[in-house]
Amino acid sequence: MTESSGQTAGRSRPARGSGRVSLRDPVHRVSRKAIALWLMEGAVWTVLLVVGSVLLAAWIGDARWSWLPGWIADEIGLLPWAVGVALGVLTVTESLWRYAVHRWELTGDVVYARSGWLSRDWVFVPVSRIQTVDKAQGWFERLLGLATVEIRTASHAGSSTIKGLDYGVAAGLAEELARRAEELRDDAT
Amino acid sequence: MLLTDPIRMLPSLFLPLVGVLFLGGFSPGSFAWAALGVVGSVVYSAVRWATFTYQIVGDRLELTRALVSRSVRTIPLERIRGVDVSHPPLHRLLGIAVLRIDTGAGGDDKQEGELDGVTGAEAERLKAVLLWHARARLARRAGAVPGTAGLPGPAGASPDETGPGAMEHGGEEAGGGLSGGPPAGLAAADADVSSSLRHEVGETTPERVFFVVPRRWLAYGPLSGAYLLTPFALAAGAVGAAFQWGGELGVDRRVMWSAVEWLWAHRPLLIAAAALLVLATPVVGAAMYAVFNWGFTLRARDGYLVADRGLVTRRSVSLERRRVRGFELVEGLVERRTGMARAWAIVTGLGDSQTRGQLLPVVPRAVALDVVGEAIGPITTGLRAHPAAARRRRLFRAVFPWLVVAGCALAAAVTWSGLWWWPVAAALVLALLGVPLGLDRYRSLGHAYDGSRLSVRSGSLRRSQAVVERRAVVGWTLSQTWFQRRAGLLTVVAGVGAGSGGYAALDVGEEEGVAFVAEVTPAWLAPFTVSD
Repeated sequence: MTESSGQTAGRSRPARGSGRVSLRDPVHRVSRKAIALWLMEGAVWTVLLVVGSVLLAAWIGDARWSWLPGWIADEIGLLPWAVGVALGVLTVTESLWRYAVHRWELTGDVVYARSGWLSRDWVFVPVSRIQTVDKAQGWFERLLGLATVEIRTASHAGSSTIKGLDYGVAAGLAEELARRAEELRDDAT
Repeated sequence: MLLTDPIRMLPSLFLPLVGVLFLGGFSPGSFAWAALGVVGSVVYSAVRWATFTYQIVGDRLELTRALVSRSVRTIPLERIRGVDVSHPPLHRLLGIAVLRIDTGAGGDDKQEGELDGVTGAEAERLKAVLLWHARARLARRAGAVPGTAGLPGPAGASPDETGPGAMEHGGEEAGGGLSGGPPAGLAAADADVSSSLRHEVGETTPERVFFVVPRRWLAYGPLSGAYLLTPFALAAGAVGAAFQWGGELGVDRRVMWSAVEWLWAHRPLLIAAAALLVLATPVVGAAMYAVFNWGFTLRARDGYLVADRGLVTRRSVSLERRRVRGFELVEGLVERRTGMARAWAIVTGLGDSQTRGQLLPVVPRAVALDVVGEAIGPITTGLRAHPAAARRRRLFRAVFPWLVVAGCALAAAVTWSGLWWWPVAAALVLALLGVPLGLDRYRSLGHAYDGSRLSVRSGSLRRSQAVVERRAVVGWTLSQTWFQRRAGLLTVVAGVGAGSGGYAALDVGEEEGVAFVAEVTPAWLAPFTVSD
């Protein structure tokens, strides 16, 4: 990003190292099958909302409220189609985009994970502060042989959820984290 | 086995009696029922009183309730994080108190122990014993760490020979000078946790008063906006109660309604009452504030921060200093104008921290910083401002939503009715007010790190600055919305296992955000950064 103007007094602080620091990407991508997972989840929402809009369209078509312009009531049958197409496109975009963004890494006893699509989150969790490590599998994840690793600390803002890992990778990571967390336990919190 | 002492449940007997005195006169018909109720609750209380016991067994406090089924709640002494003693008015009349044991088990009240109705002296004694034991355990645990042997102090106060005699002894001594064994051990315990030197000094002195809020400062109370709505709440409560009691006492509903109708017919009276209510607002608010914050005192005692306050109900909250991770300074809009602030402690595992964690009521900001800095630890650097893009974003967020509302209302005004011009005007006014609000929100933004504590500040109508120790940080979340990415900004949230769980530096520049994280926890970020 461009150098931001204004009062950025922090730039000259001695505590900082020389030069500018920026984050690199975490090393590992999530499983390719995660795209299918996000597609399936998106499809469920799409179906639910299309059904909802069909009901809404039927209601509006019947009621024909006086305050509603006439052309809306006439063309209301198009609403479910519009919703369906929009959500379909959104789902495909989101899934591919997420696959490009979601990454994770465990180096130097710190978990570094990136997630999101339109909005992004970078999470750093040192293993020494981890309280629990869970691996979870939802319906679709079981179907696809994927798993989610949930890393909990004493704070929600210091907790991370890595979704869409191959089951073997997730199990390995959870195992490794639990083992290291046991060794490094730090009760300062 | 000691301290086996049943609890006096007297207040619960008195309440129904008082109720009968009031209600009985109105309606003889309901007297029998009320009497039955009183007898019932007397019996119930008596049985409860007879079946409730508490005792310290080894390193646990056991609360036993054997009313219908026997239930035992066991609280390990070393898990006790604080003990509150409060004296509600009725309790005070009878010379008894409520003792609440905080185990930090989360927000669920059931998880915590409560002893309602111990004598005042017993409450103080018990509190001293419980806190002493909790600390003694920790000291002993720290003493077991290799390299710090030879630390146990004078034999009398050493907790190691936990015979009944030793317990009793500790209990008696705890009230006065704990200058014997425990503090020496505690210093080691805290050195172990690498807390600053100042704390240990504070802990070895048995008691030290940080600040007593002068009585005339109670007048600042209404500046915080606290309790200003009390008159309305009271009025609503009174009306509700009138209807409910009226019904129960057999007063005819029609009588009630005719009363309402009479009032409606004499509207000036109603308006006068409303005006009185509004005028009474600051007075009643100030009075309530004064009652709750009377004689606010912050002191350190045996490794605890103790805040005492209250005129009618004297409330005393003890926070274990080992668990205090920082503080939060809160200023409302009016408070900022007048240079006032309030302060809360950020404590790990403190349920209901909003009421219990308060360190200072409304006091001048400089005083608040001084006192809290002394009690917990100061932040020694000023805040760094956020980039100009953050100002644009604050402005946009304060103004744009109202412009959207105005636009929608405008469309409605054009298509439907002229009445919609009112919302248009209102939304435009709010959008206009959003300009100074947005600018002020930007001015509030800031973050800093002074080598041992980090600080973030945000908010305008309620500006809040959190100062947290570095060691309390358990993780970081950097987040960036689509709009933030376009503006080159980030929100950096420090995950802290205390207080609200996360403290955010909103809209930091991308590089500054990463640099801030790298500055506070360099080792964590080192593997993931590239310098160029």
